[in-house]
Amino acid sequence: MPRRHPPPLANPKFAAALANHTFDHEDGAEYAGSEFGGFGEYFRNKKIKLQNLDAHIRGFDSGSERPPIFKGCIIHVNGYTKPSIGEIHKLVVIYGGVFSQYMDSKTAVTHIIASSLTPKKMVEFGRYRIVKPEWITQSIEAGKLLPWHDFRVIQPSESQRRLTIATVANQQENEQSKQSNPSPVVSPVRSPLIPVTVSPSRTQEKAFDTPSRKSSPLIMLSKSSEKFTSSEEHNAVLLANPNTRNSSVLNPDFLKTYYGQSRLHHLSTWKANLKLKFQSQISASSPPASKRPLDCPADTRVIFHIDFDCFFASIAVRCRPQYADKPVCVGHGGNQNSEVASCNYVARAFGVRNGMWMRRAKELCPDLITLPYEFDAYEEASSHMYNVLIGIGADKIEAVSIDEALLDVTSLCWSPNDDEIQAKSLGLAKSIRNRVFELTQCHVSVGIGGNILQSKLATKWAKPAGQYRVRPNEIAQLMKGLQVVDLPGIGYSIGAQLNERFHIDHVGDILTVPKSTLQSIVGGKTGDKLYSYARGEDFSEVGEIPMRKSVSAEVNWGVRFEAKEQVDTFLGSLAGELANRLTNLAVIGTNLTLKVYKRSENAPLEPAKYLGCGECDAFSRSYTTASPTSDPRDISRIAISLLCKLQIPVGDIRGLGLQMTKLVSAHGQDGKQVTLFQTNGGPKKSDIEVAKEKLENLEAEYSMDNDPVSTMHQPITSKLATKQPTQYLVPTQVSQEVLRELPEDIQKKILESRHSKCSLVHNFMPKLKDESQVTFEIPSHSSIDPDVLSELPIEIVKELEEQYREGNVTFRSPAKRRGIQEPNKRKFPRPTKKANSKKSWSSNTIGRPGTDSKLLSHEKLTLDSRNWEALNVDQDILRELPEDIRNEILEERKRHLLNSPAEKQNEESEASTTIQLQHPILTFQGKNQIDNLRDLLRTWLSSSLAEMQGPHMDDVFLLEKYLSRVVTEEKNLNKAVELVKWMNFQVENVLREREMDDNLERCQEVLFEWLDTTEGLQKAVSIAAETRGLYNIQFR
Amino acid sequence: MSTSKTQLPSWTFAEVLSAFADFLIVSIHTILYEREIYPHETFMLARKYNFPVRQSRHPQVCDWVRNAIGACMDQMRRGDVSKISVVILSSIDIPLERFVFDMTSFPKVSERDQQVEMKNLNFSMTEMDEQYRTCIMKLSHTSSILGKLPADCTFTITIELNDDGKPPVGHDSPWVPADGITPKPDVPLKSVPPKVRPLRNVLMGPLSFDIYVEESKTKEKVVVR
Repeated sequence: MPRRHPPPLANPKFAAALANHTFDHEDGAEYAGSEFGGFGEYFRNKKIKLQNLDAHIRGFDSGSERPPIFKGCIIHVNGYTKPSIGEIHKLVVIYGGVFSQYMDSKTAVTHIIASSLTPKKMVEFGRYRIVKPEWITQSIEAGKLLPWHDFRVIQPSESQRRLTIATVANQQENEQSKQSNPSPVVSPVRSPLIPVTVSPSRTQEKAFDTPSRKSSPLIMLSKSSEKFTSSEEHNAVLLANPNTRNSSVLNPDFLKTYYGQSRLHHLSTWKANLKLKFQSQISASSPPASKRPLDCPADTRVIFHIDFDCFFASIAVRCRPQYADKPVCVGHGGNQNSEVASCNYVARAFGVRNGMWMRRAKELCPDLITLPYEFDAYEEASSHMYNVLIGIGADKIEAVSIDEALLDVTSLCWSPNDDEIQAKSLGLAKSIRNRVFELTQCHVSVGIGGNILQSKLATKWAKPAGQYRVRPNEIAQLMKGLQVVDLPGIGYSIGAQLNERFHIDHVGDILTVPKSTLQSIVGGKTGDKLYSYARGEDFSEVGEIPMRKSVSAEVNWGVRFEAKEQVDTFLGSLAGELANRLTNLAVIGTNLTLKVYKRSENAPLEPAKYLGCGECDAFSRSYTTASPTSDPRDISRIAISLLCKLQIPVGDIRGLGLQMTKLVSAHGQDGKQVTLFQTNGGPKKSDIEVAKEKLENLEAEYSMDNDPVSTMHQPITSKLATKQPTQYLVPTQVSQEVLRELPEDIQKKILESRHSKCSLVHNFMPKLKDESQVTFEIPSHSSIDPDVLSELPIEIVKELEEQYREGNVTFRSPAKRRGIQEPNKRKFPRPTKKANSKKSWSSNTIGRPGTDSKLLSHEKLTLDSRNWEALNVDQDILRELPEDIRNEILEERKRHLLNSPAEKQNEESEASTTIQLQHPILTFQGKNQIDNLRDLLRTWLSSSLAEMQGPHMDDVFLLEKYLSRVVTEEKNLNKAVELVKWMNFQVENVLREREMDDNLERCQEVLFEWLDTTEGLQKAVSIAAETRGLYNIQFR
Repeated sequence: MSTSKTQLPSWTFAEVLSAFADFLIVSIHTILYEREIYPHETFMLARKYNFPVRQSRHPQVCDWVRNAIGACMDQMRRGDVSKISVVILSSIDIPLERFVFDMTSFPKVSERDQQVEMKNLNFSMTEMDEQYRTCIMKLSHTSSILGKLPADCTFTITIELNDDGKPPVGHDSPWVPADGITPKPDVPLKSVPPKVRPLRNVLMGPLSFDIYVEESKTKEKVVVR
């Protein structure tokens, strides 16, 4: 740990004055007599006279060639030394130092010479430079001032607690230097990073846990390439090595190898497949139709939660009985970077936990035995378990995971008397446990409760190898004692949020918080869940398998790019991977999120882990398509434009992920679709064929109710879309003025391209098979989204404007609507007004083959599109009616609308939009509220004072940087200034307190460092404010 | 989620702006009272944001302030305003103090959407009042920091528009930036820059603005009564 030294002098002026002290004659004021009681004056004079003596000695000695080794040092001797104090005094003085006989305050001297110290002084002088006398003699021998650290009397204690960010890098550095045996570079494919969501903090932890490879060529490379300023250049150098290039994303087969060799990927897919298998087994065995006892209330349940005790570990121990009472875990042995997949209870006693890094586990329990995975045995054991469960005839069974299941056994166990339920259910649980143990030699635990939550919690108490029933009258008591993070589905981040806002960490505390407040902190659904969980309620049913919410593909290892084209290509293949996964799950989605890991500004160009992501900031952007898709080209196109918006330098990209949400089943009602996806197992079709087929199916399926936005956009954007995907967006509209300024040939080109764009619109439509007449109604002027409008070619815009002027609201074209799966379709983002415009567009969907004969009358409908929605009248029916009846209905509805404010409000809220915050709210150490930041700073100061050590430079630097970003980016001058003021106030407060207590001198040096720090902070904020045109910020 | 919606009604941007206009008026009256631009006797005690505030009783002062803020709001609606300042001038029109409402981080909403309820403008009335109350409290404490002003001071209200802002209606001539109002970072300063004291940063959902006060160097030289 690089220790920060005390500053050379707490008071440089004082030192300079002493060093330059001269002595002329004995007539100075110090030689006058002292008054009675003037001890202070006497003593001051005495010290001056002692300095006079030294000056005198120096004067004598000025002829000799003695180097001023100790220049700038003020030295004091404490206790017995060898050489003696007199000799040291003489040596110090003649070698240019200042000798201080009386140490009136410790900051007045730079070094204290002592052979040994009393224990009390060890503590008191803990923070000063206490040096052995050899330092003087050896320095003189060497002819120069030797570093005093080598002559410490007090060995440095372990460091103070520090702000975490800054220390990570240092520790790593340190570890590197400590490691004497260079370990070989681990081949990249053997240690891929886990393809799961990595939060920045997790990334850090990873970087920390990675073994350093001091002598690996890569590290040396990264050191040598420090001189490159741009990360692209750095990557180019890095990727010049063909091996590195092959293992990075630039290898076209990267994704295949990456997912093929990722252990965790395998594990998770295997688990998911097994779960699916059991679930289908369960549904195949078709549980008996509910035979609930008649007297059982509808909302009463008896739920079993059955769970193997440390599944993998107990299977592993099963055939190795010699390890039964030893700490055992399952994981990929040997590799320090692997995770503990499962560990037995003996190991848990040492603090080893599932999911822990092997290195950490070995630290906690050096005797830990690592056993390999046995996938076949797991499969066998869990199928035994499921067979037993299916056999007991429960109302419902849900396969939660391979080693975990939920059972609804209300009909078997329910009785009006609670004691009877208790007896029945425990008996049943016992028999399940025995049977499973007979078949598998592994223990299961059974938790029993009135709902899923209670049964899951009960399992916690049932374990190991037991059963437990939460009785209705003890629920409230049990819930109160639980930690929030113990609740199923509540993770650390939610726990931390609650703790920060309300200092809640027990479930009992949640009871005091109103539901709306909970929802505002952790979000609507989770808030709702927390609220009911805290009351022991859980309304989900066994067997209700929630639909998959998202599908994603993410890579954050080996991601290095030199140029934009490479990013585009890689995003293309990542999109292919995502599309594959979507197809396998038979879902399509509408919301695509791109996630990008960017190298943190202060992170090194190359992290310690070979091609790893290092310390990263995560960014994400999402985009909603007009219609659900799983087409890889759609996905990659959207992803590329999203990345373009983020404007992250390509060299700094350390990870990319794509996630599809808002999923819907691709099956639909039409059987054809299902067979399409099943053909995937058979002869492999090319992507294009699949897309075509999909398109045809969907055309048939969706032609009835399509969104006109996509249809309208189709022809215009397809031109854009068919182009080679690129991050440089082709300008869709060119200002006339700009155009005029351009050279003639370019002008021509632009005009041409624009022309072709428009002709495309016209050419496109007749190409379609169906010749039936389709009418587009032009939406009312107010509901046209200007963003959409701006994307249209000028001709079209003009045409539209003309239409509006003439009041002609229909335009006909012999065109058929395109299926929503059309691959070359792209909707432009409309950041605001989304809900509104969508509504209005879709409510204008009137065109329909066969209805055009009625078009004449429908032109007369003058209602605003939004009213249609609100009126709750089926537009099609309305259009079929005779005009007078229709008007009557509309009048009626209007009146109704005016009388029902609720409905009105509803309509308005649907049309509501959102405002974007103009500036980001920056966080520091995960905190952004001023109160939390103040707490953080105070803790920092007090921990520093407790350790008698000044603030760490890196911490100070980070804080300065944060504050100046708060001023410039968050535009919150007040917060920055308040924080600096707070720091100032705290330091001065301590200074005052210590002065009062008279132990100022003990920590004066630390406090001076803190004063320097606050001054530095003030300066940083002032400089940042100057960029906003604000000078002379007042901090008082 | 209908429950949470009823508890936290959404605002339209126009409503937010009108509340902000009220706040500006209250702030200006507070400044006028605290900086003793008009004698204390001409103010009456009123209650706003559940806090005692002073309001000038002089009808012309009230009208002037109201009209000035009305004009500011026209520009605010167009999203052009970067700063609204209340400038305290000495008897010979030298600026001494400037209370700046820095609106650069205030969101801009197209006029078309201003009547629409915004989903994330869902702070409660109380929350907004609390924010504004704190600002008024901060403003009413400024006199203890800023010290006394010379006699016969007057005041004015200025707005600074964004660089890309459009000229107000009726001014189609090009806008020429005035000299020496804001020192640009790259231009060396002719005079000593004013002292800046941040007063408050308001952050409500997506709304945010800064309030700070500047004290010119001239003020120290002017004889204090």
